[in-house]
Amino acid sequence: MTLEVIDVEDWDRPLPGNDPLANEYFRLCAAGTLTIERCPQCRSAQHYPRGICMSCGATPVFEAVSGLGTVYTFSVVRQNGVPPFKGMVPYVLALVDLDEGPRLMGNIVDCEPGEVAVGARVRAFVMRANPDVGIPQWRLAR
Amino acid sequence: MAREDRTPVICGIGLSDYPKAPHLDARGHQAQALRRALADSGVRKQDIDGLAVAEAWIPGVPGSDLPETAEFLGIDARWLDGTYTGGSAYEFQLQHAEAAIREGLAHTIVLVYGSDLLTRLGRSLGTAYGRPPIGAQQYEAPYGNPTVAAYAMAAQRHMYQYGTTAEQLAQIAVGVREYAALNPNAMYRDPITVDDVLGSRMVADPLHLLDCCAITDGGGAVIVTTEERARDLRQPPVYILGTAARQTHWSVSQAPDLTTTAGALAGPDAFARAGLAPKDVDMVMLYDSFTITCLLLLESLGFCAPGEGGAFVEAGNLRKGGALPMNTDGGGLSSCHPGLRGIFLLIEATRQLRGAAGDAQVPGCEVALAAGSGGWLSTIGVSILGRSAR
Repeated sequence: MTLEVIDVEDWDRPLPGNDPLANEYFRLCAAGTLTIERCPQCRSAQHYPRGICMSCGATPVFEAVSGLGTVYTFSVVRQNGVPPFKGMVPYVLALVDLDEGPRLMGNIVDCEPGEVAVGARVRAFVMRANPDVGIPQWRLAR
Repeated sequence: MAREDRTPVICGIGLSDYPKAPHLDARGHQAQALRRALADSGVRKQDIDGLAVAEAWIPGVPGSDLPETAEFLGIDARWLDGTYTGGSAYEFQLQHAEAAIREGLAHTIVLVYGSDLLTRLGRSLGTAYGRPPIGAQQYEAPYGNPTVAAYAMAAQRHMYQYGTTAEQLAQIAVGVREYAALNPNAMYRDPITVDDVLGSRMVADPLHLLDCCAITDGGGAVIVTTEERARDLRQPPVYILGTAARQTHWSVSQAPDLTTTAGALAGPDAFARAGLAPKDVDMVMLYDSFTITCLLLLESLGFCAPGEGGAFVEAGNLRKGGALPMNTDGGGLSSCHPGLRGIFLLIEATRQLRGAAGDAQVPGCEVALAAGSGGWLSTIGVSILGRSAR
C-alpha cells in the first residue's frame, strides 16, 4: 500500500541512501512504498536490506509491506547533544515490529511521549528528505 | 606433561592514572599501564611476544590501532590480535590469548588499553556522539539514537515483560557506589540512595543520569603467560578457567531479544569449559555501562532466572557482604569507564583472586567471573578466572 509522504524542507538529520541497496530502499520509501527483503528461495523476511538472505544465502528481493506495526520497545530521549536532535528533545525513539515480521527503528511523532506504550499499534508514513530519499516514520494508529 | 606446561595464567596487571588524567593521551595510558603491569609481574618487556589491542573506534580519537601500538610500545610480537567488539573486546581477546598460550603460538601476551576519552571529548559518549549514516547506521542514524537510548529501550522492554522497576535498577547503582567509596581513585565516591537515582534527571526513559556510567580517562594492561613461567614471577598466578564469546547482533535494531543477551549462549560455553556452574562463582565483574546492562547479564548468565533479576538485586546479593558481590572497584557506574571497560573487569577480578583488593576484598574469593558487553548489548565475552587450577 502507498504510504502518506510528507516533504521535509531543509532536511538536517543524517541522510541515508549511501550504498546501492540503501539507495534503492530509500528511493522506494520516497515513492511511498515501505519494503522488506524477501527471499524467493526460503521465504525468509529481513530488514535492513543486505542483498543476501541471512538464512540461506540466496538473493532476496524487495517486497512492499503494509506499514502497520507494533511497538516492541521505545524510549523518550531527553538528552542528545548532537544537532539537530539537540533541539528536538524530548522525542520518542522506538523499535517497531512490522506485521510482516522484521523490526525497524523509527520515531513515533504527532503525539505526546506519554501516549506511547510497548505493544501500541503504529502506522508508517514517510518523511521525504529529497526526491530520492524517503525516511519511514511512525504515528500511533488511532 | 607438555600440556600442563602450557596452562595459561594471568601474571600481571596494571592500571594507568584515572579517572581524570589530562597529562596523558591514549598512548600515554597504554605505556603507563604496560609499565605498571611489567613492574607488578616481574615480566621483562623483551619477553613479551604477543600483543592484543582493541582498535580505535571513535572518529577523531587516534592512538589505538594495533600495528602502530606495537611499534610505539616497542613490542616485537609473533602474535597479534586487534579484535574489536566494543566494551567486550578484552574478554574476546583473553579467549584468543588463552588459546594462543595453550597452542604455543606465543609465550607471554599483553592485552593493552588506553583512552583519554574524558580529556579529549568530555562526557559525550552516551548522549552526544552521533554515528554517520553509512552501512547499517543508515537505518538508525536518521532517528537520533544516542548510545543511552538503546539501553533505555532494553530497560523499557524488560519492565514491560517482567515488571522490573526503576527502584530495582537504581539499587544496582547504589550498590556499586558503595564499592566506589572504598576506591580512592573512583570518579564518584559519595554514597547515593535509591531516591538519589530516581531523583536524578531522566536522560532517556526509563534511565536516569545515575543509571548511566561515568565517562573517564584510563587504561589497563593484563599479562598472560604459562603457569610454568609464572612460577618465576612476582605474583600468584590467576588461572583462566573458562572463556567464551558470542554475538547476537551489532546494531540495536537488529537485536533478536532486548530482554536477554548473548551471555545466555556464551555463559554455558564458559561454564562448561571451566567445569563450573553459576553457584560456584564468588564475585562478578559485570559490564555496567548502564544499570540495565548488569541486570541483563545477571539473568542471561544464569545467576538468576529470566525476569528475576530485579528481585535478585533487591535481595542485596550484589552488595558488599552479599552472596555475589559485583563490581568491587566501583564499576563503570561510579569509578572508571573510558569507552571500553572490558580490561578493567579482568584487572579487578585478578586483584580479588590474588586476595589483594583491600577493603573491597571478597572473603575467600576462589572463582570470579568477568562479563563484557559490547556495542548495544551485542557482543558478550565471558571470562571465568580462578585462584586455583581446576
